[in-house]
Amino acid sequence: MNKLILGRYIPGDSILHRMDPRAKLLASFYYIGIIFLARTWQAYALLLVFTLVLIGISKIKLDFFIKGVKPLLWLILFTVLLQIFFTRGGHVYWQWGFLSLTQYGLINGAYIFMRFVLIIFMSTLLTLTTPPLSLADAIESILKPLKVVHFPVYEVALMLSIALRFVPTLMDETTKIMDAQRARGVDFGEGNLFQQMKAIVPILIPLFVSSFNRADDLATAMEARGYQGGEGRSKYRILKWRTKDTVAFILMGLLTIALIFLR
Amino acid sequence: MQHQRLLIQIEGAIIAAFAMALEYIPHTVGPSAIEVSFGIIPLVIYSLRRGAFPGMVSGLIWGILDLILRGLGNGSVLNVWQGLLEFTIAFMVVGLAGILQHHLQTSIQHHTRVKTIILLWIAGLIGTFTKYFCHFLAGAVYWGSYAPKGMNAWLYSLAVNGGSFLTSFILTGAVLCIGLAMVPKLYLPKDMALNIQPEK
Repeated sequence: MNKLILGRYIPGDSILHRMDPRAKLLASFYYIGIIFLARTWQAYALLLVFTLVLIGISKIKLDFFIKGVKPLLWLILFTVLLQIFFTRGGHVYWQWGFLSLTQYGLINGAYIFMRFVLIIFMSTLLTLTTPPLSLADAIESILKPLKVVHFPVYEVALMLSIALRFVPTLMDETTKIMDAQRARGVDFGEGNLFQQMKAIVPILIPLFVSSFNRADDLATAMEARGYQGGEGRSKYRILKWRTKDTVAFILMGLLTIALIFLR
Repeated sequence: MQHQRLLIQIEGAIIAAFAMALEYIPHTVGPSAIEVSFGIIPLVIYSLRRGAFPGMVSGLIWGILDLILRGLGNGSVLNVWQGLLEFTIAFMVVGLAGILQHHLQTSIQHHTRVKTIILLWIAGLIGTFTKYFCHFLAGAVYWGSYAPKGMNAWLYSLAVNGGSFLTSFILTGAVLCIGLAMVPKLYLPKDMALNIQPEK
């Protein structure tokens, strides 16, 4: 836990690093959406080239992206194997009971594998080029239209930045308490459910008490500094939408047209 | 009043950070697909302390944190609808446990022990069931777009999320009760406890 880094941002100075986080977040979600339009190998080839060019522009080593695929490797393999052995149609290469290896099965397996890899590469690219705090700012900005339905946008924004600030603090505190418990011989992450439950209670209780005390102190400190609620507050970090962000969306639009054309 | 409103918000923010920090503790039980979510515990306690709406907002914050810090980096968003369902709504609904806030606080004040324990288990059930029901739906949506045609996506999703739900439910319910025995004040904030008169 000591080696854990929050978020996976790698500092850099590429165009992707400098883009508006809102544009990056929306474009990434848009990309995850349009990937499902791809049905042919030409479409997948286009998406692969597009993604690799973006990775090239980010100046981040490909290794980081390949590492991003690893945690989901079993899920990917499982899904791909299901596709390969259970899809019917085309030339049958091999058959054993209900399992069969068909032409369409192999093609679908390859497509699904590509889809996984491309989506993971794109979301990894987003997290590697955008610090968590900027992502939080972007989400706050995207939520703004919800004010129409009385959604507490300012409150959520304030809570999100406070929460982001406190995750490392609370993790440090958790580590300290866990180390203290380990010194008494407790094993975390091992044993059955009841043993794990017994291990977690002595961590939770002191953390609760300190969290509520901390919240009380912070609220008092904010009021002492004249905090009056979110409406009309100015911001320290201001997001700026630039031409390159618009260009990114035009590129996404062109990619969509190309994918529809290649269906 | 203003202080209480701000305090509720900040407690919510810190509880969301707390829930997030707990997700980094190593925890697996049995097959790796079944996960236990420790983060549900602080969120359910907060919802019971402050009510359903603050609980849901805090849950949303936890969901966004999970998306930013883990979900996007791990490649857990594999389909737009699955991503939205799994990282916003699934975390928000945990706060629904707060609908029992009033009943629970009155019951603690009146020292009706059995009723309090039953309410805590029901709260644990609401928090975990709603979360894993959303994961179950998201799982089916995901499998709908990745599994071969004719595969029963619902069944697979039910097996994985049903197992996670049961383990998380038992863990949450038990810890909620232990929390009550050790520090009952967790469920009774200072500012609210004054408004409820204990029965003599």
